[in-house]
Amino acid sequence: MKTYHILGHKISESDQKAFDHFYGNTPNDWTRSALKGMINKAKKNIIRVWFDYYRSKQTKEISMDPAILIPAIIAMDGFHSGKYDPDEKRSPERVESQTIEIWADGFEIEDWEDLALKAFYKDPIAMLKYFLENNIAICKKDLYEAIKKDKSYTTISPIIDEAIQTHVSKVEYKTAYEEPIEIGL
Amino acid sequence: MVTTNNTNTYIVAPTTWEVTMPKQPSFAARTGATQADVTGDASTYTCQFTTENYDQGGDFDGTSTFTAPVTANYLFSVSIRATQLTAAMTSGSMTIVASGYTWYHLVNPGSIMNSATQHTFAGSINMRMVAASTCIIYLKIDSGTKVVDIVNSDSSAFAGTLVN
Repeated sequence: MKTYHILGHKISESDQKAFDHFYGNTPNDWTRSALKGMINKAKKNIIRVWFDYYRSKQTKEISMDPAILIPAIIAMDGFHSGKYDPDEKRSPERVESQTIEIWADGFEIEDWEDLALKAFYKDPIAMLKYFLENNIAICKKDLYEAIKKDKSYTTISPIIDEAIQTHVSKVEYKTAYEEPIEIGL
Repeated sequence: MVTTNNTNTYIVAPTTWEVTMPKQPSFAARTGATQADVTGDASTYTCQFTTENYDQGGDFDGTSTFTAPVTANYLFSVSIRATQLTAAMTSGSMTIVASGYTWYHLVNPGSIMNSATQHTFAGSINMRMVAASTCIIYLKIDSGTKVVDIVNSDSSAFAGTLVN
């Protein structure tokens, strides 16, 4: 077990409000879940691509425990990976300073998970930061679009952060999470 | 036609012209052994699908959670066969929780169960997901005791695919 050393990540108050509007968990929880998804994808893809080759090189019984299998595959002569990297890049629009620390304690992961992430992704920490920033950008854009459709406003600030702060301060404000869509069967 | 980069072949159309996308995120999984006494008393249960039919992108965790690899529109379908329902269980829901949104499929299990005290919850939905967000299926049955089981891997399944 090791702490995944992420040197902290700060978001703005409006970032937090926009995130809270759509999610019932915290940005830290969301990031932890995203990291689990990244580890799962790295593990499955490494095994899928390399397991048959690895097996062909073994003369003894093979352990399917990922804590043994993943390091063994990565240590093979000839192992290489595509170093997955997202094509899309997106950051939220901000005028507010980023003061809310959301990754203060880093994330605990196993040694083999660290190996898998580094083998599969070009830069796992950059990827994780991208995932969160991308998500916040989309939350802010979607909330701003919802605010623009709110007929109770006569004027709306063209600055997204200002419009969000005004909107979430309304007495009758509810998050999207508090008003779920229901489909009866 | 074959579309590739240096590493992978993404779109394949053989001479018979059926187009396949072998790298497109897509998965299907069924339940394994019976999941016993999971709800009935208003407990919310995370449904488990431990038998994978396929998982093209490696984005399903082999248990309950699909993690979107890119921001895109995804189609999900799910069916859950529940048994040990009782007439007292007058409300319940199967929910699809994805990317911050929750869709409730509401039913009155006590009134629609068959003579074997079973009902198959089923639904599908097309939704946009943000990269690295998750999709999970929950089952919750109210007004009874915690005796409801999820059974039969032939009719309890979860599948999803990236549409566009």
